[in-house]
Amino acid sequence: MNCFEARQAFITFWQRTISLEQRAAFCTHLSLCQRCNRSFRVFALSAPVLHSNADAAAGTSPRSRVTVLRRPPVRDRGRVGSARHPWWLLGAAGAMAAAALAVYVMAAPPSSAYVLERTITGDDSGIELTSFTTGGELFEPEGAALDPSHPILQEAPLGSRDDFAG
Amino acid sequence: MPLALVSKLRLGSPAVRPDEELIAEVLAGQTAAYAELASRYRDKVERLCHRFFGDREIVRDMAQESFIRAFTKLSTFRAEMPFGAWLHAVVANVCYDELRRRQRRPEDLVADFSAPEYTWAQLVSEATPEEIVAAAEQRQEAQDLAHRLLDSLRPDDKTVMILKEAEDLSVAEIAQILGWSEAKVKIRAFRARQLMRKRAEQILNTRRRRAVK
Repeated sequence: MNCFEARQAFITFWQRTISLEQRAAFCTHLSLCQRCNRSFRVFALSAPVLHSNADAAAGTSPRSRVTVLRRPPVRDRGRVGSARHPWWLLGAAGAMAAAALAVYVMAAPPSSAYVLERTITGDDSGIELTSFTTGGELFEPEGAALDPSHPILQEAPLGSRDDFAG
Repeated sequence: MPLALVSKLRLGSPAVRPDEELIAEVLAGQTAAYAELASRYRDKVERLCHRFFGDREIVRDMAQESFIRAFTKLSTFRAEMPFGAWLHAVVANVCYDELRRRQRRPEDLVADFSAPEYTWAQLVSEATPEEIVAAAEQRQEAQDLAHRLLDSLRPDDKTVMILKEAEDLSVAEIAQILGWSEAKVKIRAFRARQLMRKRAEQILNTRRRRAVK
């Protein structure tokens, strides 16, 4: 990398969009060329404002960005037995999964084969009709989604937004 | 306006209803439609204002002032360019006017750094480039010092510097936005770059002198 190329790479290096090879060449050049090294330091004084990718105005502070950047890689997060995931946490998760499965099995409606068998044998004492309730009815009465006057379909008033028109 | 400028200035945000439709509603008297326009562009407008001013209160004020000015001048908007590009030019002019109103003496700005700013200047002076980039993301004082450095420029120079360096606009595009001649933009850009370098060298050297003491 020559001096011209190095100067061209200031912004991409700062914004971390430079390739690894170019990055290495850039650092090597700056370690050898005093003028480019000095120019980069001058550039670095104004770059936090002029060449920042941060959406500072949108509320993403540099610190919060760093927090996001410093999250461990995905392969480390799920490692069994690591300090972040102690054994008791994994055990608790397994117990919760087993409990959820048991609840599901107990609450699930009987299979059609079971109902048919009971119908044929005439033994319906163990069957509760309420167990055939559809999932949707648990949250909303049937047909409510089609009713335009239902509260869930009422839009929020536009005036609730900030009005710059003053 | 040239197509290149239009594409560069496009502040984005395809939405369900086109901007032109909302603008037509506003011009027809339905001012509530302007709230939707403002909410679409608020982040972009505040980001540009943040290039000019470090103080968040001022950034908010400038963003609001920009939207108010855009609202009052909306009848002058021509549909051959995107609303975002037009709004961008309005914001640049609002910030430029505010800079001129707040004009301060450069000497006052570079003289009195805070301790964190000195520490940051020291780091920039001595650390490796990779360390500098990594540290800049964590430190508020990096932004503070950069704003202080930009504040040391004259309003004309600072505006040109931001539009040219941060927004990547050409001389012709800046001239069109600010209503200047291209020659004036070139002179200001050259002068701004020279002054920025001089001020930055001052900061680095000042820090070094302090370290020697």
